[in-house]
Order: sequence, then C-alpha cells, then structure tokens
Amino acid sequence: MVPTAKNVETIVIVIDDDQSVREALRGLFQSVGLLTEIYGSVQECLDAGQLERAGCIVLDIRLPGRSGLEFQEALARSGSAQSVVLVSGHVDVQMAVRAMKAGAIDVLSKPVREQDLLEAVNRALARDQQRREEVKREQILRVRYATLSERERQVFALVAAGLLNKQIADRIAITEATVKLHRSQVMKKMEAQTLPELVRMADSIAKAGADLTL
Amino acid sequence: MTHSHIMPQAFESLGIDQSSSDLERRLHRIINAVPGLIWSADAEGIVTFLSQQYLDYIGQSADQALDGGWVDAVHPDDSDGLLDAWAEGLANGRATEHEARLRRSDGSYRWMLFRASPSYDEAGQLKEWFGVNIDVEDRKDARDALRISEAALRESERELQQIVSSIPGLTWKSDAQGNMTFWNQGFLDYAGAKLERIVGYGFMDYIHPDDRQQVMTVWTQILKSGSAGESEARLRRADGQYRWFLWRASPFFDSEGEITQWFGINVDIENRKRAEEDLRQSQSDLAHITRMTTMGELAVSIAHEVNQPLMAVVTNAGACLRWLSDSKTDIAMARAAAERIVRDGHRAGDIITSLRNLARKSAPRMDPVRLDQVIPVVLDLLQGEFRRHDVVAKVQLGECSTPILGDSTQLQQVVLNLIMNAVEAMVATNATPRRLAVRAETRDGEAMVTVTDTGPGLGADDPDRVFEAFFSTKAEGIGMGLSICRSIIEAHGGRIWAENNQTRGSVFSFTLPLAEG
Repeated sequence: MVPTAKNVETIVIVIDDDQSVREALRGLFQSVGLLTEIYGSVQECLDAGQLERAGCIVLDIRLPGRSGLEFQEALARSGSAQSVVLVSGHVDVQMAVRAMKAGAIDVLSKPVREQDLLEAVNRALARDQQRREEVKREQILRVRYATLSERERQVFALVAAGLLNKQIADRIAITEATVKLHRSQVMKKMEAQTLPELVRMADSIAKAGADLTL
Repeated sequence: MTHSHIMPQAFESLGIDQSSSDLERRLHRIINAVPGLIWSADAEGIVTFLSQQYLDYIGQSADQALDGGWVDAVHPDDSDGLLDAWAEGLANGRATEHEARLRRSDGSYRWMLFRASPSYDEAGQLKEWFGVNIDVEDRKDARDALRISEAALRESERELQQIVSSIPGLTWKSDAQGNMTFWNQGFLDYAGAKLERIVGYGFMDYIHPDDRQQVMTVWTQILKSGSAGESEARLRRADGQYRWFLWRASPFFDSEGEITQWFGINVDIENRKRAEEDLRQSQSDLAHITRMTTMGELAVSIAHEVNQPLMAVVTNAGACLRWLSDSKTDIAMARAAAERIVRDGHRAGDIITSLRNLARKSAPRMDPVRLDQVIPVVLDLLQGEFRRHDVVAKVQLGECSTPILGDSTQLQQVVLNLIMNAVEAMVATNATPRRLAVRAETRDGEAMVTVTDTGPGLGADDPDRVFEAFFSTKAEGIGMGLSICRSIIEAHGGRIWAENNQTRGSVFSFTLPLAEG
C-alpha cells in the first residue's frame, strides 16, 4: 500500500529537532515518491512559508521552543486543517488524547515502524486530498451563488427549506409564475440538475458559513 | 728497734763506709729529705723502722707506730687490701706495691703508693724489707678525673647508642656521595640484613622494585641539591612483606661547610598509607554511587537520546530496502540511506560508550586528559535533558587542547553534576528563557571551566556553603553531589567555587593545573 502523490503540489513537512531523524524521514518519504521538506523547529517551518502546500505534517511532540502538540492545536484552532501525524520518543496517554482531540491522524512512538508511519501519512494525505476537493467544491458553489440576485437567493433558500412554489409566492408576496421563473434561474446558475442536488448545495453553502438567509 | 739497727746494711747497699759518723748524719738527712715516707720491716713483715717524716706525717711516736699504730693510720677501707698485698709480697718474696690512703696528723687522708723491696744476704736468705710510701694524691686525682671523664664518655656513648637504637624509626648514614655506610640495629633487624649487604648501593635490594626508580631519582636530586629532602617508598621486611616508609635525609657539614655525610631516618607510615587508601576507596565508591544516582535521574532523557538514532536507523533501513526493490532500484539513494545508517548507528554506540564510561567503577587513574574531549561527551548525554526542560545550552570551548592530568570519569562527573544542578535550578523557577553556558579555556598555566545558569542564584550569604556535605536546597537531594565535586577537584590539585551571576542565576567555576610539558 504505497501512497501516491495525486497532486504534485502536495508535500510532506517533517518537523523534528533531531537532524538524523528528520533526514531519515525525508529519505523514507522520498523512497515512496513523496516530496518532503524538513525543518528543525516550528518557527523554521513557519519562516519557510510552505505550510499551505503541506498535505501532511509529521511532527515531533517535543520540540525546542514551541512544542509539536501546541503547534498542532494552534493549527486546528486556526481552521487550517492540515493532517498531522505526531511522533514522539515518549508518548503518554494524556498526550495522545490531547492530540487526537485536536484532530491528529495518528500518534506514533519512536522508533516508529516504517509501515505504520507510511500508512498514517497515506491516510493523512488521502484525507487532505478529500478536504482539498471539498474546499474546491465549496469555492465553486460560492462563486455560482455569488451570481444570484437578491430575489433568486430568497427563492433558493425557501426551495431548499422544502416549501412549495405557492407557499413561496405567499411568503414573499410575488406570483407563483414569478417564483417558477426565479427557481429555474437558480437551477441554471447553480448548475443543479435536480432538486435534491440543489438542496445538497444549499447545505454545503450553509455549512461553509455563507449567508443563506431568508 | 731503732733505725740504728738497719743502718749498717742500708749503708752497705749505698756503698758508704759505716764507720763514718759524718755519713751517718748525712744519711739521716737524706732519709728525712727524700720525698717519701721510708720504712723497713723484718723478714716476717713486722715493721721495724719508720722515718721521722713518716712519724711526723701520721702524727705518732715511734713506739706508737711500731706497736701497730701505722696500720691504724691506713684508711679502714684500704687496710685489708694493703695487708693482703703485703702478705702476698711476703709470701713470694718479691718487690710489691699497693695504693692505700694514709691518715695525716690533721686527720685527712692522702693516697700513698706503698712500695716494698726485699733485701737478701750473701747466702740468698731474705733478711728484711725496705719500703717507701710516695704521696700520689695529686696524681690519683688527675687519674680519677680522667677515669671519670672516660666513664662519662662511655656512658654518653652508650646512651647515644641506646637512643639511636631505640628511636622509633630506622636510621642510616651515607657518605657525601650517597653510598650507604650505616644502618642502625633496628633497621638491620627490620630488613633481616647484614651491614655488608647494604653498604654502597646494596640497600636498593630492600626497596620495592616499583619504587626503586623513584627513590633513585629523589635521592640523586637530594644529593645534587645538598639540602634535606624526603620521599615515600616501600621497604621489605625480614619476612618478605613490604611496608610503606617516609624516608628523610639531612646533610652533615664539616667546619668548612663541606658535606661529609648524610643522615637519614625512615618512619613507618604503612597504617597511615592504608587509611589514606581506605579513604580514597570510600570516596571513589561514594563518587560512583552518586554518579549512578545521577544517571538514574537521567535515565528517561538518555533513553530518548539513544532512541533518536535508533529511530533514524530503522527508518533509513526501510528507505534503503525500498530503493533496492525491483520496481525502482536506485543504488545511489540506497547507498545514501545506508551511510546514514552507519552514522546513526555510531552515534547510538557513542552514547552507550559514554554511559558505560560514566558507570565504570574503577580506581581513579591520572592520565593526560583534554577538556575539549571530556566536556562534549557529557553534553551529548544531556541533549535529551536540555530538550525535555527547554534549556538552551551554549558551549564555548576555547583554547583548551593542552592536557591536564586527571581521571576522565571523575572529571565528567563534575561537569555532569554542575550542569544537572544548573538545569534543575532553572526548572525550579518558571522564568524563561532557560540559558545554560558552559565555557572552558586555559590560561596562566591552568584550565578553567565555568557553568552559568539563569536560575534563582545562590542566596546572598555564603555561596560556597553549597559544597558542604549534606547541604541541599533540593527536596529530594542528599546534598552529596557538590561535596563530591569538590573532593574530586581538590584531589586533582584544582579549586572549585560558586558565585552569583551579575544579572541572575549562578556561576560555578573550577580550575585544574595543566599537565607538565
């Protein structure tokens, strides 16, 4: 089970203060065809500005300066949901729980079995891939949604809420024929083929926090 | 009897005509003028005549004296001896003499030499005895004085001999060139040696083979310097056992200020030496125990430290195998991974070696040691500890390649202890950043190492108190660490001290003398 780099832009970032360890990890990831960047500390990594490209971050829990765990929690809070695999010389239960709560893919203890590590990285990359596709989809929807007029957005929200044309006409005090017209415009602009598809799009936009008000 | 009876013969023997009354008077005068008391006795030894001088001397009349009174004048302590000698002379008929004290008329005694000679007739028959007593009081005084001083001399010689032989040490003497000339009886008895065996340089046989070179070196130095000196060596006892002695030599000068000989004394220091050895052994044991304790405290960090290269090795091996797989063989990449394996394997090995060295339990050995090799070993072991406690360690090893004479394990222990203390002090306060500086350099003929931290410091009163045994600021500390550091440094001829840093934290420093040459 060898992970494949579907997206050439995606890289693995390794942050470990031990030079031997980070060089070894780079060697391993390179041997399975992954682009890998290595850093000695969180600060070094931030300074390099490569964080956005990371499909997976392999972090030592204990790092000089800012610890790996703190960094991972900060990443999670900021919403930039890079997949993180934590590695440490001494993993205790408390640490592992903290890491998993903050969304870590896995917490592995050194010396790590290479197969376990590669699997974890693979899972991380897959999740990242999925996340990136979702983001892309949301972005597309958002662009389409931006082309809707004020009246069309009102109709979209009410259609997605499951109201019939007549009910919508009553609610916003327009004729049923006008509602039908707006509705077909929404379907066309959002590139939705069916009503269920449009409803799912509304959900996605709502989840992404778009302003989908009545 | 009167003296007239003896006259004719006396005159005969003097070859003087007896008919001459002139001569008789003359002889009278002579008898009384001779510096001696003249007397005569018959063949039986009965005194028949005493000169007027004699009678005057003892203050007796002729009748009194001849009636045994002359014997009364002899000192009671001497009379028996005198009479015995007289009896002996009478018995064998030969001239005889004896000394005895004779009482003067004033009651005082003077020593006299009593001399008696026999007189024979033509038929060879002993006729009578003539005698003279000569005053030898003054000579006797002088002789006695001589005898007394001789006796005193003998006495003091005997005393000296007694002192020399009873001095609680082995004494000896050599000539100006260092050739052994004398061992006292105690020394000979100790070694079971004969004087002829040890004279010259024969004494070397009785010195422990391992100490001979050193004794020769010191002895040559002392002889060359011409002043007193000392050293220690093991001397073989008669039973073959060696014991440690402190030997001292002092020069002996003649009136010209030239050294004529050397005097020496050897004092048995075996027990002291053994006590010193025991003390050293317990100190070494204690040092070992605290070293093990420290290592125990470090176990987690050290395990981590060994884990890192192991992790790297395992990971590199995985990569290496992948580069060798059929689908995408890349020998260059595989080789690079293998080289990393070698490097990391050595690194893990080095940590284990340092650890084993520190755990080593052996007698301290003084070898030339370089601080720029000793200190990094300790720092390697402590990397994990620094990381664990967020300590930023700065190491400045200046010019310190000149070796010092020391035991590397013990010196590592000192450095380890000082750094561990610094780290613990900084962890105790939550103030950050935690900075540790380790500096080493050589200057003015000594090496100096300082360990500076940014902890709470040492308190104002007496920073050096921390070196006292059982002084501890830590709840779990037994307070031996720094005390052992001090005994180690002092055993190396160095100094160790503590002071407060100017801004914050403390500074621990120690110096060590550089190895000669």
